[in-house]
Amino acid sequence: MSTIAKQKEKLFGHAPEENFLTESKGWASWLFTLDHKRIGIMYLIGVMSAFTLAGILALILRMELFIPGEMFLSNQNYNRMFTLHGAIMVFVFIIPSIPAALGNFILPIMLGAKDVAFPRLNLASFYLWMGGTFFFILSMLFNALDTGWTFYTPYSIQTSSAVIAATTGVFILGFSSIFTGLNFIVTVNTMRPPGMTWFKMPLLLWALYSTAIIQVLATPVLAITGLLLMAERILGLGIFDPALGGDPVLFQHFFWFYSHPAVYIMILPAMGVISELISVHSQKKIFGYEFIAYSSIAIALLGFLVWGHHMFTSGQSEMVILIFSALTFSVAIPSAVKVFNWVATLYKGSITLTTPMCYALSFIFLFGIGGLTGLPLGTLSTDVHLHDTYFVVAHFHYVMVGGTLIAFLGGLFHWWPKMFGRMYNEKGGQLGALIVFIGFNLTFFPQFIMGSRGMPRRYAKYDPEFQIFHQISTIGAITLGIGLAIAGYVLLMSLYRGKRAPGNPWAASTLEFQCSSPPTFHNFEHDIILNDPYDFESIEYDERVGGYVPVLEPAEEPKSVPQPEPVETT
Amino acid sequence: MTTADSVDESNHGHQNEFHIHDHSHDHEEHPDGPFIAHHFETAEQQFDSGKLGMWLFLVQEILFFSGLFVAYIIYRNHNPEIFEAAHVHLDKWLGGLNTIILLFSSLTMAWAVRCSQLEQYLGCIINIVITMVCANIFLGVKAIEYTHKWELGLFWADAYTYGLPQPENQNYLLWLSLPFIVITLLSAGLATFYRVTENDFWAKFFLCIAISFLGYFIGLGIAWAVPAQEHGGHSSDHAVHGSDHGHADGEKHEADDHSGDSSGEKSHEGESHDKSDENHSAKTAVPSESVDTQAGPSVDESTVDEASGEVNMGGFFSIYYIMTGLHAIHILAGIVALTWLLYRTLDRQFRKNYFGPVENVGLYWHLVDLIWIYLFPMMYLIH
Amino acid sequence: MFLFSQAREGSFSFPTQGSSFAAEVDSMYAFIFWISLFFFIVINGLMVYFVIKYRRKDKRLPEKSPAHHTVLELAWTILPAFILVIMFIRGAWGYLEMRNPPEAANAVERTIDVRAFKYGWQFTYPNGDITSELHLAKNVPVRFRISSRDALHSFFIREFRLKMDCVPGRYTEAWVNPIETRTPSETISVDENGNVSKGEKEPFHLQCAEYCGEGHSQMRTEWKDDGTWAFPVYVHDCSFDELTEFTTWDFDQNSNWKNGEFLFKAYGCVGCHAIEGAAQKVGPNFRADQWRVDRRSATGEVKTFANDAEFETYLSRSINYSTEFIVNGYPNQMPKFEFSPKQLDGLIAFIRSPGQETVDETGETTDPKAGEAGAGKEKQKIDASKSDESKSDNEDGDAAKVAEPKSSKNTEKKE
Repeated sequence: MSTIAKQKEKLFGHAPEENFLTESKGWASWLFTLDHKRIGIMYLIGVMSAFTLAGILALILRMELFIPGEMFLSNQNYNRMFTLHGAIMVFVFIIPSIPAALGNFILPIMLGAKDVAFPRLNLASFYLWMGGTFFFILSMLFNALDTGWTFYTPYSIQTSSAVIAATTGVFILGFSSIFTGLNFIVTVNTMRPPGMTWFKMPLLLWALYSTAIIQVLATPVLAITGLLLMAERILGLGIFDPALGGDPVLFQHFFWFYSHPAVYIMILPAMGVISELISVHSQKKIFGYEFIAYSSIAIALLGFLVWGHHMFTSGQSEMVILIFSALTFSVAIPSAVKVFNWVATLYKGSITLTTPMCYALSFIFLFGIGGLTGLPLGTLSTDVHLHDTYFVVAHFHYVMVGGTLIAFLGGLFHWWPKMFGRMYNEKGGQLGALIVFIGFNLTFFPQFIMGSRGMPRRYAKYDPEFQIFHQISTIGAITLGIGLAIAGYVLLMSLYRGKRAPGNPWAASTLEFQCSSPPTFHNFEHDIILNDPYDFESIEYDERVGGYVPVLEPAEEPKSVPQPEPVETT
Repeated sequence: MTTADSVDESNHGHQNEFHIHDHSHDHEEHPDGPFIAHHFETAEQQFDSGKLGMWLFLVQEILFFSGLFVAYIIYRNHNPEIFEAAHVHLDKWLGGLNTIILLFSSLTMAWAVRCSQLEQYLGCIINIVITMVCANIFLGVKAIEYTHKWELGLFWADAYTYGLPQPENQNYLLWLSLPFIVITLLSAGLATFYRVTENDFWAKFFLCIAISFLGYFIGLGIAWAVPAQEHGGHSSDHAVHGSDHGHADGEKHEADDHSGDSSGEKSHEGESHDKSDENHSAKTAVPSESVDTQAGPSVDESTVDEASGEVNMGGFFSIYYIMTGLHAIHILAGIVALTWLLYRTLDRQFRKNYFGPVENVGLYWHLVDLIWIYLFPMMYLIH
Repeated sequence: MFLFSQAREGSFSFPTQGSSFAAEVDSMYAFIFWISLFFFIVINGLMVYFVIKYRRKDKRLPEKSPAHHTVLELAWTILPAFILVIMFIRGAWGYLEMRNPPEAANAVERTIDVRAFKYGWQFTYPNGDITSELHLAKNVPVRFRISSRDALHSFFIREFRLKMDCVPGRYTEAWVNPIETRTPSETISVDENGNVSKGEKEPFHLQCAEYCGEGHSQMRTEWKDDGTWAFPVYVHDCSFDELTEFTTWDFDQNSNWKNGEFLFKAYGCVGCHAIEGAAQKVGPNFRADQWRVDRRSATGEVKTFANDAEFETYLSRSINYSTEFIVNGYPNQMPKFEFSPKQLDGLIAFIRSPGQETVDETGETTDPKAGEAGAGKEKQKIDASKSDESKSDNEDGDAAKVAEPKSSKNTEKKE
């Protein structure tokens, strides 16, 4: 036994002198880094800045809607604001948030690899993201953008706002997303260490893998759509412009062929994060691992078949509409399976309400509402009434903010100690999560009622009948903003005041918690010990390191280190 | 230094000997060669990763083009008459010639991959250069095709001026060729310079580049020499006709006036010289007329002048230019990639266990070829 | 439950049920709502219960419990599918009813042409009459043939649970059988002093539900300062034939000014232009004190008017060929129109004196504005407009200066 203790001392007893944050210094060491962790951190800073910007725009919008008439934004400025809010949130923030920021950091470590397969492509993807964002900022400076984030033709051909700059931004961001996805697929396929079989992968990796499939398959269609729209504006191509014989509905098909799967680019990684959080913070093996893993793939594939439900009122033929409606319902099943499995995981668990767990539980609540309100939108007779009203606005905010953003925050709190090696103030984190939860519901729940009462979306001025709902919503938005500010404050303060984080503060058994916090440049200082990612009995507390370490009993050995297998390349 | 190692040990010795990684060799060469990145364990792993990545990129490329194919199908369904009328302006012999050239270049590309696998440097270089020459021939032929259409006013929908007097002295071809002329002369000059200064490597490199870009001018020559087809010949007659009668100064007619005018492709074919200038303006009236002015908006109506059967082919040429144009950009990207390969091959960087880049550029090149295989019948052959 | 009721007057969640299929939509929604609520309570109830019951007490590791249960998992994969199938079928059933007009509506004499533009609506009835508010007859099914002049719009009447996009370049179709009445007298009341105010009932709402630009939020029912509703939907308790007579306008029997006022409303000018001192919309307000005031374009070009005839020519060009001269400060968004000379005369008379009618012996309008001259301090400009046309047509610009005869020739063609 004493040899075991020695092993432990040797493996986990000391923090390495250098970690990825300190191993080299200077701006250039960050700007030209090929380290996936640094790229992840740069992405994190980037997407959080974009989120702050778009969030401020949202607050301005909600202020303006406090009264039915004009308060301080003209119609034109209101239109610009909501367009930029939507476009920046979707293209610049949500799509890269979990895959590119968290995923870049975690995926290779979780997999047991030293880096992603193509580190240079990874860096290129980050700079493309910067470039795309730059074009968005450029469009804000030059006459903004007032087409709505969907760029529907022919309005986007007619308007005098900076559609070309924004479309260029979308085009470039699209390639950033494609490269990230491509990198992840190859990494998961070829970089798994021996013993890491497909079904030993943590569920977050399944989710990121499914997401990457969508990113590679759907985004090129957005790219060509953007290119055609640019050509339409510059040259007058006449493919989408009815004045030149084009078909504006074709644009909608192209756009949603990407943008509906893009919804799953946003939500699938969030589901993966939640699978991790629920399991770790209730110290219980995830319930129905295979069902969750397959449901990720199922969602990714079904997501490609339902884009037409955005066009139920565009005058498509009835047969097409019926088929799309039926397919839309089919996506509900894998999503529901995941929710049931998460709740079942809690059963007989050992649940602690840590900050990440608070976010995970709010995710189940909010995603539940977001998902269930998708049903009347997928049902044809009710959708005709609810389409393009605030009901839709509320629905997708419940999914994208209540789902993706909440999961992103949960994940951020979960992996923050890993990223920066500091523990945050737990009480502050929980308070932030609570206020975010309350503020969010206050903001978006009234919008369901407005929507079913017939308040169309994207209205700068509205009927006084809806004023009370808008006012509740505005107050909620401010509350939400305060909650997010608290969360941000807690995280930032931890960098200065937080106590040192051990390698594994949560008793998680996935691989990223075997390396030190923060990890070293090569991720693992020692050979990885491959356990089942949800086997919490293979982890024990070690007071010398102040955290959890793998159990190293000889008896456990054959189980925890499987036979070597050739790397699968399928 | 891998898990596999430790697994072996634990299997054999039943010990808990875990390794603390020693990364002191980080900045040294990978045991499998200088071009194996640190995060890969073996050369095979790197090769497999690169190849899988390339295949995914190609899938992405296909989806990128698929958007255009769908647009083509939809547009064709909406406006079959445009495609009917427009295909006569595409020279299927030039298109066919380009198809053969690309197919041949695919062969030489595959050959180059094989050569680099076998470490036959000379063969590899020759094949890469032939591939680049073919790519340039393709572009040369395409340049002739494009400029011929521009001279006739066969532009995309909004700029479409077919049948109208065209501006004189538009040196489209010269402008298109300018970059090729510059690159050819520059690399020829540099090749000579390095030859004189006895820098053998760069002399060879630039010589190869110069030879490759000469292909462009071969392409121009071939396209010139191919006899104009019946339709092509007809349309050039048409151009002459257009510019002969082109000094129209009295075209002051409201768009709405022209519904009664009779002019059309058919009458062009029969007696193309007795038309008044009014008829020309009738044709332009169609593209400038927006749905605003139509009582009942219909896509079909807006492209055909009902009374005369005159078809505004701008929509077809929009799709034609965007599809072939994007394809040509991919050819250009291919030339850049091939140049990079040329450099690395001349530098003797590839070997038996490291020829992934050649293989991957080869895959890319085959895809570009494949896309043309679809474009050619869709644009040139289907009536 | 107050959330959903089957009552015609609507419920907390839904507006009045104005059409024959509204009740089905509401009850479908309620059906989904209760099923969803059940699942929501089960999931979140269990979640909260588990969190409380199984919160961590002393030891970290929980007691062993199964990590999967195939039968259970299959059950909750397959059972929801049955519920979803029921939802799909019922929803599709209701939808097909909404989409396919009954025999009675599917006839030319029951078809109303809906034309959307930035930012207004125009309805053409089978008898050729045109209005900007929608008049329907109670219990008479009608079919709408929907199109758009410019961008995408969406024809949305919430009381009818009816929505259909207006797509430029193609026609879309919808139908409705209104079952509730809303007449103008119910929605607007006039007291003995002649003050106009909202009546006891709201008119039905016509709204644009597809984002279409600056004036998007004003393409809806709105109580206006001049005591009217913009784009209301009225349902009269009469037959359809009576209805079309009711809405017919005779240009020869009315004064120029009256014709102008009618056109102003019928063609949806109200969507972008307010009258006199009302809050400004997308286009400039119509104000009597702007008669013959110089106009300046964004490029610095200035138009001055030596006499009324020149100004009237300018106005008629600005109405029918609005892109020719865009006054500084206004967007180029006005659609082109094809008004006849008679109609133009009416509109010009209306613009000259938008507040009130002043008619002299000959039926010509006179300038009524002696007292109003100082009404507006801020600079106001007439008119602005829309897209393409005349990029290349210089002759249009020339014609603007030439005057009356040619412009009337232009406008006659389509009438």
